[in-house]
Order: sequence, then structure tokens, then C-alpha cells
Amino acid sequence: MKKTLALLLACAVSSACAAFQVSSQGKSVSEIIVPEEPSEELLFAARELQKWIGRISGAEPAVFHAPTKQNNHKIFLGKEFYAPEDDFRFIGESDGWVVRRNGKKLFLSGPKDGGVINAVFLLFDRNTDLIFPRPVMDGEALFTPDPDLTFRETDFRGRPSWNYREFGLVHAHFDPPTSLWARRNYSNSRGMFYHKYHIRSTLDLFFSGVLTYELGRFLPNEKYFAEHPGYYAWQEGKRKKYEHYGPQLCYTDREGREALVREMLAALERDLTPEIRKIHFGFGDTWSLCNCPECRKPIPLADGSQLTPDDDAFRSTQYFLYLNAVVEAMLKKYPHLEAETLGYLYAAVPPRVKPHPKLTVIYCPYPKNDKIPIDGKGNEKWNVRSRDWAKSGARVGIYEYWGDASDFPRPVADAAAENLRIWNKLGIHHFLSTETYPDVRRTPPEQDKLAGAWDVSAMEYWVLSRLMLDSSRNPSELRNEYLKRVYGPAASPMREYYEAIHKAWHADRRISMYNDNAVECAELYIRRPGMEKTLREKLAAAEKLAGRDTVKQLVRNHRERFEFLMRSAARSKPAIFEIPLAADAGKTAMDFDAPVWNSASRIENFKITGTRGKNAAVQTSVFFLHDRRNLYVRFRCAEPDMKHLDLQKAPYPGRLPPGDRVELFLKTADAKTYHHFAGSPSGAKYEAEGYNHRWTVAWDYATRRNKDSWEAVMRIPLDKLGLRITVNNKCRILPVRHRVDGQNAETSSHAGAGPHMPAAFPEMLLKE
Amino acid sequence: MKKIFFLAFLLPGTLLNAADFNAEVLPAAKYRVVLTAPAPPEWQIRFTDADGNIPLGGILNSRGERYRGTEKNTYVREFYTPHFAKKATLRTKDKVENVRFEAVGDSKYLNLNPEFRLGSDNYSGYARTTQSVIRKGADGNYLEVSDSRYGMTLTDPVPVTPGRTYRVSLRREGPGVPKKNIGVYIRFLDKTGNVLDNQRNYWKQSFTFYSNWKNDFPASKQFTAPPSAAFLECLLLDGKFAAFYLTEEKKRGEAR
Repeated sequence: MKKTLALLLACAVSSACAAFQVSSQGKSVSEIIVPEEPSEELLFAARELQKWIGRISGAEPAVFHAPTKQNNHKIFLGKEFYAPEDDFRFIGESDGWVVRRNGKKLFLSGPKDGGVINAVFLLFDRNTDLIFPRPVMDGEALFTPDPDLTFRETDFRGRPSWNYREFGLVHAHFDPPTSLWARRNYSNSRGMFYHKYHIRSTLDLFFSGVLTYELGRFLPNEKYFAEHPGYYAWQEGKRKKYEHYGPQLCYTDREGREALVREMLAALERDLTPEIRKIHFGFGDTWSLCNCPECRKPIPLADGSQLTPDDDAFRSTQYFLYLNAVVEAMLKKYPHLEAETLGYLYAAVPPRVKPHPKLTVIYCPYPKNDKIPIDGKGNEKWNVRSRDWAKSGARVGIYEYWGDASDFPRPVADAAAENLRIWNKLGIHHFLSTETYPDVRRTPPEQDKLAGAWDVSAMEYWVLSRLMLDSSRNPSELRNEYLKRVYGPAASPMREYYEAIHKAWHADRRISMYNDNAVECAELYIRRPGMEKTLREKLAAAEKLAGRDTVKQLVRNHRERFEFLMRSAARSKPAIFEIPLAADAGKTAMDFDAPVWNSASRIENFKITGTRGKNAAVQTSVFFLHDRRNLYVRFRCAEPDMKHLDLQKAPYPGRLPPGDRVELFLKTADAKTYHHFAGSPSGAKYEAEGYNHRWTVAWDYATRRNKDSWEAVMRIPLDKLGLRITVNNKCRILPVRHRVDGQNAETSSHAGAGPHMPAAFPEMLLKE
Repeated sequence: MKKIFFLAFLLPGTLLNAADFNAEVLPAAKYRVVLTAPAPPEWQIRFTDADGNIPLGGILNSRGERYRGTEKNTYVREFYTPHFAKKATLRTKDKVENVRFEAVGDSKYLNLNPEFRLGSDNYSGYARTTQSVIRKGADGNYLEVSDSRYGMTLTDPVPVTPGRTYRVSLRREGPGVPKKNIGVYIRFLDKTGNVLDNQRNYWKQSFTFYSNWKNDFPASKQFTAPPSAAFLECLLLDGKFAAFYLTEEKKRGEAR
């Protein structure tokens, strides 16, 4: 303690002395010292410190395991050299940092070696203009060369607002350049999606000691389903095999749970290593839960009340009761482990039972409006749930979606910063992840949304990285800092460019979510407010003013993405048609008069196909609903001559009805083909994959005749067509009517789009 | 490396305790340290440069349990000296005797302990293992890397020269058709141990030994060291390795 005090005193005195010089006239006057057995984190810290001192000053300091006898400046990395009690107490269990100077010695330390990495980059942040603008860029970083590099701020400590900070990669789960960028920008966790060969392939320091399993995979269908169907979800009158995007396990089947526990323990026996401290239990990305009588029974609660199936927390409570038992069984054998799961989909609702005390819940407030914080109008339920989670007794983390839809420069950091502060105030600061696009370039531009996102949103990612470390910071100031460091003399037009988009985005009352379409955003926030020309000029001016080639290239990339968005927006019809969610539609939607249809969205005014806008001879109305698993489409076909319907031939089984009919074309986002459903007024059905009429799927169809119209309802099973509403809730849908009037036939559709032309099917949004 | 080089420093019968033992060494060369001890000792080899300093990578730590020799109470570890090494110092707090540094004789294989002949409790050449065990087989020892989630072994780095080509091959242990292919992932490191290339295409830098190949199927794959490469290391996954070989391809006209 005395030693520490003496050192602190010395540090205080020395801070008043001359600055800490690491190079002089392009020659190194310093060295770096690491312990005899440095961890991966310390090795990374040393190599990065060495590399960036070298790049800035022109002279790399050498790294040693023990100080040399040279009379130079020495930078010591790690708690082996400096472990001040007071600072370490302040830092606690986080990867906080302490930087102190004692004469010619500079100490970068922290109770966790990851804190030393933070200390290294904070040292650069405070003493140089070094910045990593995006993951893939010539030279990796921007800085002003300084052959006499000197550190002036050498006395500080800190701890992060969030213990674990993560840019979790989506679309491509493994991308070392993006992970490296994240590590250099204070992220310390790499995401849960990776395979074993990724772990040591690079960046070992991201390996966080977590094993991830998906609960349903513990009970492989091929091993258990035939003999133990009761382990699996009961839906539509039968048990169904487990699928990640489909039916889940039965959460109330005790035998099934016991079998799962046996398999889980066997997996741990096989997979555990001494480094593993936590087991993440995942579940399927779906709402497709078991509906067996036991799973629909009210749940008795500790206070003597009953939680009924219509309660928001029913499914969540059921899941956590199940998971608590699994975690308890795990801890019985492996008491040193902790458990983790997602508070996602149905499990996002705080349960009415206490989560297991050794369980961390990563709460996913999704989907919500990213323009406003969770206490803003429309997002209230996510705020209420945040508060309830904070009170639940579980250790809570946050899983965010800010990086999604970043192929348009959505200024999400403003609401993000407010949310971070709200969560911190609630005592939530354990883990924060945001989905992130890796900086992977793809061609053509239509498929380049990943690197395309970094072309336009790199600044926002950088701002988020700072907010994760210190949630009290101001996004506007951070943006200014980024613009200054990256663009230098071109900062002014870039600032004006971003500020104009910022203003237009916030001025528009529409909500903005994780699945915003960049082209639609370009239309809404740039073209419609009439800013296209001005913004184009700003970018052109920035390219002219940019000094360095690397910066010019950054602006050029931005311009290319901007022009792509403008071109695409000019060509597209951006207003997306929304299909409302009616969770209970399954019960009544096949009934034409059911009240549920009052909430449906509607399309009118069919146009004759191929005529560029000529109205159909008779009126057709189409109504849409969905319940996450099925799409419900109701046609109302006005018909002045109902009798002619009776004269039509009955279609051959399995063939497209030749006479009057309604049709629905549907293409899911990632599908290589599309599906075609049709039905006649007499109730004949037809389905095909493109033109392949041998393809089949179970779907429902009902019709009725009125005095001067006929109606039809279709129930299309979205999950069977590969539409995973939790992954992408947009698809292309085209309703069509074919009418035969004597010798004349007329095909009309929504907007007059042609059947069997999937690119022309209008995009529709299945609302959550 | 170019010629057979033998050095032996022997202190017969000398019991060292909390002491250092020094030897002059050549840089980037294969050596082994041999010692005996009544109980598994822990030791360090500290490599100093011409100025007497220990640059990064200049300390090799060993636990006796991982480096048992074939004879009782004997411990052996083979290693490559760092590129800056002039002197090696063995440091231990435990009781050890008969300490010997030996240069390892020339071999056509660049990697250390390719056939696991140093013993079934000796991980020379394979210091970084997870869920991997060297076992005794019918025809010698073999390395079993579990196909569990984190089962993997990373070979010790082998010095390489930029522009030269290296060949990876292996023999699988045991007959039959295992459940999984054996995977070998290659990576080149620079002088200070940084991985070269961004590893985005790590899967291209790999060699697969398919499970339906016979265990001695003569499959191999070549890799050329990029500019700035100083070391090569391999990640071994999912299988039983009776032998793992790294060789350097000779240029045309070069003596074999």
C-alpha cells in the first residue's frame, strides 16, 4: 500500500514534468515491456502500441520481456508491473484501465488484460489524431505523422459503461478485418456465431469462454422423434419435428426435458475446456411454439394466482420455467459455470417467475422505432420491459440492431445514446451487442449492402463504439470528432451532408426500424425533401477538398453508394404496402364475416396487366392479414354477370383453372423461385412453384357467392415457403384476377404488374 | 539448419536448484533441452539477443507434465530458437539435474516431433492444445484431436523464408472411415508473431484429409510463404494424426 501511495505521489509530481516522448526525429527513444508470460490481450496491446507508434513516428519501439539498461522511456504493459489498489477497486470487474506515469516510466494497466488494450487506444485517442475510419481501408488508419511523437496526457483511469461490448456480425458471421476494427475501437466480444476453426484462425483475444448450444439441437429429430414425439411441439393436431425456424420443443414435457438434460450434460462432458465459464442456451428464431393441452394450461404462480395463456408473459414464463430447470441440472454437475439466454421474441417479455440466479438474459428490444428512445411514444413497451427486466433479479444484457439497415446513413446514435443511459440508470451494464454488417465488398451494387453500409455509415459505427465505452458522451460531438479526424479539410461539406440527412430523417414522422430499405430511405429522406442535388454537391466538394488519397477514396466510395441509392430510388415505387399482424387470425380468418378482417389492409383498383395503368373492367378488392405463420388473403370480386360462372368448365385436378380465378404470386426475399396459388369460384385450387405444377404444399382455400360478387380466402403457410418472419419480414406479393367474359378474357392485378414476373411483384411488409 | 549441427552441453550429475544454465545457441534453429528431476519441474528458457536483452518471444515456459521423456524422471522439450537468439538460459525453481542443451540433427521435416516419438506425454511441437491428447498406438504414438466444439491443436511456429514453398502432409492413425475429415489450416506469421493476411479467406489456406482416404493415402498440399513471412503454424482439427509433416519444396536444380 505504501509503495502504491509513493508511486501515485510520484505520478502526480511527474505529470507536471515534461511530456513522455516516444520518438525523436524519427528515431525511437522508448521501449515496450510485457510480462514473461503475456496473455493474448497483452500481446495484442504490445503489438498495436508498437505498430502505431511506428506508423505515426516512423520508428517502432522494440518490445521486451524485461526492461533494458538503456536510458530511454519505458512503457510497461500489464498488472504485473503496476497494480494500484485504489484504481483497481474503482475499475472492479470490468476491463477498465489505468494509465500512470512515473518519470521515464509509463504504466498501462488494468485488473483484466483487456483493459490494457483499451489503455493503448485511449492513449492514442488522447494524444494523437489516430483514427480507424472503417475496417477495410488502405493503410488501416489515418493520422498525422509526427517524428517527435510525444504523449502529454499520461495520467488517467476509467471503466467502461458496459462490461462486454460487441459488434456482432450478421450476414457474414466471420470477418477478421471488421472484428479487428471493433477491437481497436474498444469492443471486447466477438459475437455468438462462429465455428471452431474461427476461434484460433485469428484474433484469439476475442475468444470469450462461452459455449453456445441451441436447446432444440440437443434432441435430434432422427434420434428421438419417432419414439418420443411428445418431446416436440404439438401443432395443428400433430407433433412436429424441431426446426430452427419452425416448430420448437414442448416446454412442458417433463420426459423431454430430462432427455434434453442428459444430452446437454453429455455435450458439456465432451466440449468443456477450462476456459469455458458460461453456456449460452439459444432457441429457434421463431414464434412456432407448442400448443399441446399442457402448454395451453394456465401456469400457477408463487403468489397463488394463475397466469393464463392470453397473458403477454405466458410463453416467456413457460420458457424460463423450462430453462431454469435445465440450468439447475447443469449447475449440479458444473457449479462453476454460468448460463445465458436471449430475451428475444416471446422470451423478450419479462417472465412471472424469477430467472435462475446464475442466468444472464440478453434482452432484445426488437423491433422498435430507432428514431426515438425507448421512452418515446410508440416504443413504450420496450421501456416497460427494460424496467421489468432490471427488477427481475437476472443479470441483464442488451442485444441491439443498430447496425442493420446501415446501408442508408441512419443517424441511430442519438436514440441509442439515450437508451444506453436509460439502461445504465436501471443498473443494466453487463453486456451490449449490436448487429453489424461486416465490411465485405460484393458486386453488383444491388448486393453490396455490407461494404455499402460502411461507405455511408462508418461514422455512425464509430460513434456507437465510443458510446458503448462511455454512454455519457454526446453523439453530435463524437460525429464532429470523427469528421475532423477523418476528413480534415473536407470535414465541413461532409458535416453539412450528414446534418441534412440527420434533419430530414428526424423530421419525418415515419418509424425507422432494423429492416428499413436503403432505397426507400433514400427516396423518403433525400429525394422527397428535394436534397438530392445539394447533397451530391456536398460530396463532390468533399472529394475536391480531401487532401490524402485514402480520404479521397473514402469520399468516392460514399459518392458511389449515394449515386446507386439515388438511381435505385428514382426507379422504384418506394411506398411499401404493409400487412398487419393479427395473432389470432388462425381461429377465424377463413370465415368471410369474421371481425378480424376489419383490421386487414386493403388493395383496390386493379389494373389490366401489361397496359401501364388501364383500370380493370370490374372492381376487385383484396384484403391482407398475417399471424406470423400464415398469410391470409381475401379477394372480393365484383361480378355483374354471376350466371356466367356456372358455365365454366371444371378444371383438371392439379391444373390452373381455365376460367375465372383469383391468383396470388409470392416470392420470399432469399428464394430463387416464387410460388403461385390460384382458386376458382367453385373452390378448385391450384399451386405451383413457378410453372412447376407438380410442386405442392398444404394450404386452405374457401369461396362464397354473393348477389353481385364472389369471394375467396386463401391461407398460405409462410413457414413452408421459407419465409422466416423473424429474419426478414418482407416479401414480394402480387394478387391477380383472371376474368372470362364470353369470348374475352382480362387479367388484372395490383398496379398492373405481370404474373410470373417476380421482379415486378410489389414488396410488402408483414408488420410485427 | 543447412548443415548438421551438434552441440551438447552436459552437466552430468549436477543438481541445479533455483539456478540458471546457459548455452550459446544459433538463431532460428532446432534444439532440445533434456533434464532429469525427481518431480515434474517447471522451467523457463530465456533467449537473449546480442545485447543481452530478451525481446518479445524470448521466453519459453514449460511444465514438466507436458514434456516427459521416454525414460523415468527425464524431461525433454524440443523447440526452435527465436531469430534474435544468441544465448539460451534455463531457469528453474525446482530441483533438476543432468541438464543438456542439444542441437537437433538435420531432418527433412521442418516441424518438431512429427511422429510423436518423444513420448506419449510429450507435447514438443504442439504446445497449444485444446481437448487433444497424444496416445500410445499399436505402431507408435499418435495425436488425437477431439472433434468436440473446441478440440484443436496449434503447432509451434516453424521458421520459413518468403517466396519458398512448403508442403503439408499427414498419416492418419487407425483403419476404417472416421466420422469427420481431418482439417489442417495454415497461417503465416511475421517476425513478431502477427498473423499475415486478414484471414478472411482462411479456408483457402487449408488442407483436408478426407475420412474415406486410406490412413496412409499420400495426399499433401503446398503453400508458398508470402512476403514478410517469418513463421508458419498449422491448426489441426478433428482426427487422429499418426504423423504430421512439414517439408520445404526444393527449387529446380537444388540438391535434395
